[in-house]
Amino acid sequence: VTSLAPKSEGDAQATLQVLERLFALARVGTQYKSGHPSLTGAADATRAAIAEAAPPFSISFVQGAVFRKGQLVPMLPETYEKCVWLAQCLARLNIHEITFEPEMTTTDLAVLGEVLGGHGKGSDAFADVRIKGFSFRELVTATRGVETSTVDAEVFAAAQIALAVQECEELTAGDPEAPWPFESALGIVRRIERAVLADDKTALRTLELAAGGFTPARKLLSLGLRTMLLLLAAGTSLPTRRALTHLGLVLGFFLKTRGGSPIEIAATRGFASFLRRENAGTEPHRIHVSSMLFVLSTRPREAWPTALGAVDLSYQLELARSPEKFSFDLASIDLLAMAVSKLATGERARWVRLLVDALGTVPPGSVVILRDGRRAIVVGPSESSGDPFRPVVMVAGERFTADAHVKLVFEPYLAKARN
Amino acid sequence: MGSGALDAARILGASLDALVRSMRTAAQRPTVAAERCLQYWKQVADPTMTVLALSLKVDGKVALEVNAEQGRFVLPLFLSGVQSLAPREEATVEDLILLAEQFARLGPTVTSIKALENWFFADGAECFDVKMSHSFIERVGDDADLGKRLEAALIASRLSAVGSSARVIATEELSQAALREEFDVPLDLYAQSSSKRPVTVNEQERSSIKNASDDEGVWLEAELTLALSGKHAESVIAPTRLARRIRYAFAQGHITLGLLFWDRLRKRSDPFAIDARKYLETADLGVALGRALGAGTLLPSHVKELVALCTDEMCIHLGKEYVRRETGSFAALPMLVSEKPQFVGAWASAAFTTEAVLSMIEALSMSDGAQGDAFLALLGAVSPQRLAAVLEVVPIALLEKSAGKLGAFVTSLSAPQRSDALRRCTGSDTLMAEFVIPHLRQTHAKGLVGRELYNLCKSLLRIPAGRALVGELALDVRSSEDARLVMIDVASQVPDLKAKLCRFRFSMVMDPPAVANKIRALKKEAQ
Repeated sequence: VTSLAPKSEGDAQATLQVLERLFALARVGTQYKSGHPSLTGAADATRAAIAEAAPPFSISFVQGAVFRKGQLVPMLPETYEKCVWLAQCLARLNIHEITFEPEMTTTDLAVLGEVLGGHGKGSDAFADVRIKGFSFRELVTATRGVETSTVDAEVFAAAQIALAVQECEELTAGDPEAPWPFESALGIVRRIERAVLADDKTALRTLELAAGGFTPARKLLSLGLRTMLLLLAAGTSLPTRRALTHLGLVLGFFLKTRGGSPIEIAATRGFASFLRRENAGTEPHRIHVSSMLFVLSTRPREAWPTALGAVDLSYQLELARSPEKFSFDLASIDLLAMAVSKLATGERARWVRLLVDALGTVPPGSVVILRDGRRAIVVGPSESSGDPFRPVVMVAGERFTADAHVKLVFEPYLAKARN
Repeated sequence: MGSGALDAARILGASLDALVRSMRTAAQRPTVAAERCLQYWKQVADPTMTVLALSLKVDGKVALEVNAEQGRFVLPLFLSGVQSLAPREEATVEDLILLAEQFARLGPTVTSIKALENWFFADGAECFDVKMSHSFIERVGDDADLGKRLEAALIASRLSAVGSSARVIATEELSQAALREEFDVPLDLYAQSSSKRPVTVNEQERSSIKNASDDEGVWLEAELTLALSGKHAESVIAPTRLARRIRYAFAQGHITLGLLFWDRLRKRSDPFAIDARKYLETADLGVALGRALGAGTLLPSHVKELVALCTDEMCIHLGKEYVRRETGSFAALPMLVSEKPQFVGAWASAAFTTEAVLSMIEALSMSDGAQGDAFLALLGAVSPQRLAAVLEVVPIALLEKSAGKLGAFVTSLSAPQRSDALRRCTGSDTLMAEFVIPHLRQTHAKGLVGRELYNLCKSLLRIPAGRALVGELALDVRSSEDARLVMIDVASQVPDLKAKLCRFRFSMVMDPPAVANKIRALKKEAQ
């Protein structure tokens, strides 16, 4: 996950230099074979550029764009044209990603230039050629027009949540008195949305299964994720889902390691941080979030719009997640049980019912005991059983539908494990 | 698709490029360039602009190609994940400027590309239909290995913790927790109750929550309240946005909200409010309100409050738009006319049907105060073709209020119409004295002949001044021969007028033979 952290613009510049040199190398490779001084010169320049770009690193040519370690390499149109040419050369060899190690030599690079330049044997050009410090692979989704949906949805959802956890850690490490990091929070909302749309059960499971206790960052994400799921279950519009999920993040930002303030206080603080910015915004999303913060912080609960019920319920549950004076954090199944028995009153009862609808009676990621006594993780509801207490479970990497009702286990998270 | 389409695409591409460039360089907002560009864009048959790495396409034709001079924003736009965009019908110049502003900030940097992606994600281009692919900013979804490794690690981690936690957490602590009411929810009980009575949501309930959550009015109210709360909302909401949302409230039928917040805005005099009003109180809002009033979105009951908020220019446009239609009721006119009678003329000039004009007249006749001027303005505005029909039904009381100035209007009517109009007015002493008699005296009943004139003269006989006029015109050589013959006929039915006709006059010598013969016959009859 760490390797996917955003790279600086400096990295991008170095990568651009590599691409420029690689382009020149391949062009020279169309004219000369290895051993020719021109190709050697181009290879030497490429080697220097690679060394400057801090290898090892991989460069992918996917759907018309270039990425270094999964991060976009922005460029000017002139460079882009060269990259397109380079990508075509590689695509002819069924290559979409190349990786450079530090030990690349000028001689190796000259061979690479020769192959890229078309002196190889078609798509098998690298079959007999070994270039030290250079590796490559084909990517399924590299072709234009192939959408990310072709990627395994579970994998995509899990990766989005894992990255969102990381981003939430960064967010919660920020100064509560500083202006609200709108762009970062928006990025998290986007990850939640993508994860949920790709595979909501995996998204829940991934968050539930993360190691250690529920840190403020994990609670923040859990709040946002639950809000998004609730609103999806209600069938609300995209802008409503996004705005309220973002609102959940703002409120969750003020959750403490144990306990936290009432939602109204969190909203007041969140609203203040939202207003600490220099320029007026024009995006409706930003305004929706701030106006709902304003409502939460200025109006009595009875006057809150229905939509805020989703955020309120999610917030109350995260508030209860890490009870004060105790050293453990509750699992989602505990919170769900609490919601059904303690919180399903008045207007909130409708949202609680939706919550059960959204998460399932036994939420993914819950620890259960099978009839044979084994402990298992709930993957999601089983279509074949149609019984919420006979879900699909996972034990030692194997997935199957429970053959009998599973037993729910009170399995709190150890708060001390977060250290 | 001919060369016209190609040209249209190229023109649009060039104008968009010019707009983006001027956003970068111009000191002032390039409103004119934006107007032109939006006009071109909306004129294209299919305005969907496809974004490619090094070009923009519209209607299947290349609109803009990237080169050293132009289209420098296209590649970053493509890399932000935008696949296509098209302005919606309601898109304004302001919307296009906002979009161009974002394009102008684009450069070959992840920061700028990400900022644009975020802007689109946050509905920044709310008046454009934008199709976005998954962003190019990252390619995490392709890394299958990562996801698999990740999940395996997580599951292993959780399962290794499972079972051990109960040993680590002190039994005492768990017992204490169980005593707390909020944690007193044994999972066994939850499982039992869920098995017996599953918690479900029916579709009606789901739909009710959805509708309440998405209720545009709720979001609008919250936003407008915030905008006018005075709690530094200026840092979140721009004046243009506030103006747009109030307009939106009217457009979507949230009239009470719109009126409420417009009124609050008007009561403030700070720079933010002044700025917002500048964007709000424009002629085109007047037009939109008039249209809403005509469509029934705005009710006549809203009119009083509404016109109190509108500027004069807006009121004129509102009323004009309201009457500029063929069908439907004009129920709001009484209130409009009563509140702003000074604009009746302007509204009447735009009226599509006589019914609308008549509704205005009716409203005028019912309203208090000096409606005379308003009525005259109205008469001045209606076409000559419609004037007769109007005069036919105008309440006499209203005609009386502007009696002295009616003459100018009836001269444009045809003889039969003028005759009818005049005859109708003979029912009122005031109109007789101030309009009919002076008018006939001045025009010598020119153009009036036959049955129409006969009937008119018969009506004139009702009062002494009318009788005197008939006698006067019958003998006046400036009246036409035909008219005089008719009037002699009528006058001869009144003894004192007949006697007057038979008296000697020096002007007799100028009488046409037919008139002289007629008078001679009367004399013989008298003898």
